[in-house]
Amino acid sequence: MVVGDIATGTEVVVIGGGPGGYTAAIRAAMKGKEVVLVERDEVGGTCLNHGCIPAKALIHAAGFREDIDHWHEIGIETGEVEVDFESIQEWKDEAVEKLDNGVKNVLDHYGADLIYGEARFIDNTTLRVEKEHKTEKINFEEAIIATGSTPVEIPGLEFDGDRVISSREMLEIDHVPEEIVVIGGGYIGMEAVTKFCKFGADVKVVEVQDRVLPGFQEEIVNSIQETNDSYYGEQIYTSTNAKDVRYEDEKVVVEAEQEGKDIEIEGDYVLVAVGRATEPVLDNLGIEKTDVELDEDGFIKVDEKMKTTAESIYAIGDAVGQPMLAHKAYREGKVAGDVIAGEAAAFDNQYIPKVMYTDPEVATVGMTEEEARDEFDEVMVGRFPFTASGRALTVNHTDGFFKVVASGDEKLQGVTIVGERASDMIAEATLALEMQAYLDDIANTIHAHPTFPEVFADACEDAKNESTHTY
Amino acid sequence: MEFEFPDTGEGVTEGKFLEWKVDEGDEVEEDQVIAEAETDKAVVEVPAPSSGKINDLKVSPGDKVEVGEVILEMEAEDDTETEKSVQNTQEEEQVEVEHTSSSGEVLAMPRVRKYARDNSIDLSEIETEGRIEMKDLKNRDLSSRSEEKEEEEDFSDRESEVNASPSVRRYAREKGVDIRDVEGSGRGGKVLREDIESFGSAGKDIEKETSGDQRVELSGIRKTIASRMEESRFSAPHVTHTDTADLSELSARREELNSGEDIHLTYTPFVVKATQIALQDFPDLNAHFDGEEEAIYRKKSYDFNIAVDTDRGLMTPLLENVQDLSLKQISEKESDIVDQARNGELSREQLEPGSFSITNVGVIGGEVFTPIINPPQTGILGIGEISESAVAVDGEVEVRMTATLSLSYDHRVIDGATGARFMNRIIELLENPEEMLLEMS
Repeated sequence: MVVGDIATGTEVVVIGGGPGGYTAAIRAAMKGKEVVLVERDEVGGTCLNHGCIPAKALIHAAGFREDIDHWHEIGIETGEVEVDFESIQEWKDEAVEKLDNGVKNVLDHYGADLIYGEARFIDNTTLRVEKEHKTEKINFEEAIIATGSTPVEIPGLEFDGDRVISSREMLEIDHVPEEIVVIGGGYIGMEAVTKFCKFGADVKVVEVQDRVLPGFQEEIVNSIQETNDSYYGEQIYTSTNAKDVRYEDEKVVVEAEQEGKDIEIEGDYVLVAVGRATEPVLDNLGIEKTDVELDEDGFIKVDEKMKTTAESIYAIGDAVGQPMLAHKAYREGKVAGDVIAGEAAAFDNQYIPKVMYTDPEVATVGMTEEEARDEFDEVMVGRFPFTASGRALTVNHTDGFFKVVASGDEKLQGVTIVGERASDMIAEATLALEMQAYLDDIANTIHAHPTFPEVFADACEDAKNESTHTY
Repeated sequence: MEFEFPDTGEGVTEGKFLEWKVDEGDEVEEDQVIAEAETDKAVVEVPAPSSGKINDLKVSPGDKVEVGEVILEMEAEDDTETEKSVQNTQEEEQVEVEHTSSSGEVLAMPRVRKYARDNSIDLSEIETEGRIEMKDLKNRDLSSRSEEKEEEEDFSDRESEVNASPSVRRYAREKGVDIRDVEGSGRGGKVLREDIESFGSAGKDIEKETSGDQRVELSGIRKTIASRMEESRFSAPHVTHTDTADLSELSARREELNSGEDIHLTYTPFVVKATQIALQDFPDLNAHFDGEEEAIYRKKSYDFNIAVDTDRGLMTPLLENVQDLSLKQISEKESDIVDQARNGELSREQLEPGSFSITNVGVIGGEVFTPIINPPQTGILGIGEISESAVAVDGEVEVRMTATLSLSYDHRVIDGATGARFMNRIIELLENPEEMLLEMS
């Protein structure tokens, strides 16, 4: 024991106050456990402070700005529109702060103790927390690791915190840059494209594979590119390998190789968004002092109760594997909290929806058509374009489509939505899948009119060739 | 090469590892006994798969081992041949049954095929009736994996293929029901809340708080005894017929025989022999009964299972071809199998059900009891304590040597009159040893 350590004890210690961690802490405390939540930065984690929430706030502002350009189409003349980006950032920061305070209030309400510091395991039942001015030793009965992930760096394009940045710094920028080079055409990169294009920046995308959003179905990508090309005409460099970066006056130049040719791409900022990793975070945690084991991909091994290979230690969120999504972490956090409180909980989810705030929005859950054809002898596909949706027409956003995939016995297997409010509509689809719904369960449920989700019922009817709105 | 815990057949999937007979670095010969393990059927000897050098012993005495689990690594003299010898011959025989369609194709859904591809499973090796389902592959996966690997699987494969809504899944966990075991009554086999309820009430009560009570898990042998006894007691309607045999004359004859040669006969060989001779007139009691087929298989030889009390529990090794054995041979063989049973040296074949069973509780004490039939047999004879008792003989009370015999038979196939006549015949033989000895020659 280090001289000066103060030893305390608690039933449950949660390491990391992101979406998974704070949820687990609240749930365990709610169910009567004595809980300490250790956070080194700010509760809410990457999602609330540096990811989903600020990104979506800026995307909303950008969309709002872009919408104004189309108001004349419905008879509203606006004249000159000015964007005060600093004010937008202040508004966004306020939203984040409100949510942060909300989390702290709930933690407080249930008596979970929030302490700030860096945590390191000493053994399977002891943790050392280095606070700003002192070190504290915590003996725990059960620990939950919820330490999340950090952005991956590319050799040659290391983050400098100024010009070569991650999505975190991009969200804190105080002005709209003229030119941005985005390395990585995944969903984080493409969301950045969406917002900064709408604010008027020139965005260039560098993707190593032969198309952007390689993890998504081609028809989705085509639909987005159709929309984006016609709106902004940004430049997309596919099959391109970013290798190095050069600073020139006020500009940054990315040196890359595209199909054997050396090219240079210039911008004010280089956003590197090629994925997230858990190793750097776990390396600092001292898990080698515990019985916690990692799998071959560097994630913590857990069972469906979120328990690791160490009897007293649980793990949730990005630390335990893909997909690295806050809503997966939320659910895992609740499972861990419930299990520790002695309940029969388990992460038994069969479906995790994916949402991407591009323009138009994209949301998917379950199988794609291709995957379904691989699994089932017979597949039913229903499709409904938003051009045929009354509601989509009334808000002047008719891009995209709603697609359902069912097995030959009419059981729903997957949903793909590209279009306005796709992110909201995926909820009903996920519920339907988890409830093991059949096409008729959705088609025969009355959907309010005129709304976006009506389209789900229409698409299910279309799968049975019974749609009354398309043919 | 890696050597896996072999399939001993009879649906045995796991066992308890008892002892290594070799050390790392030892040279072994093919078929040399290298280890002992206890399955729920018997203690089995594990032979070396080939000649070679033992490199690494992977399990320790006391470990649970599953069929297919790697138990040692060795350097084989001829690897190609040994690969073959490891392969279970029984499995080879069973390949190509049932699951092929008339055209000889394997029946499976595309997703099952995909799973098989992804997990390098040869579908033609799956034994199942009709179409191969996902569960067949997963079951196979589990049984062919070591415990440690199985755990790993638990950790990596969190996706479940459960056909039930989230609340029903949780309800099942709360009731301690594995939802994968429940047959759903909803559309497409969807498991509903009611299905869990009816499954839960039919199944076991999970809430077992042990308030300081000692919990002892049943050994493999105990589990087998438990399930076989349960099966017998609740499928075969038992009738137990008891009667007393006067063994005074037999006792005198026995002493005579024992004084002569350097042998020592107990009463058991006499009872065994008398029973065998009696059975010749009652073939339905020297038989197997198949309730499903509604048929009796009368056995051509007289193979008795003799109940032996061992420190692992009850064992019933076979005393075969009683019809061909002399009293002395029966005595010697009986003593051999009792020793083997107590030392855990019986082979699986020695524990197969014979044609009839005999249990001699009398050596410990007691008169009348209800022996439980060893299915699919139709009868079992229990011998009570052989002792002096007061018997009325021709109006006088005499001290005689007597034993109470308890015969249980399966009333589905044996009627009371038959049982009584059979008992009478045994007693007649025991009370007239000369006739019995005559029958033998």
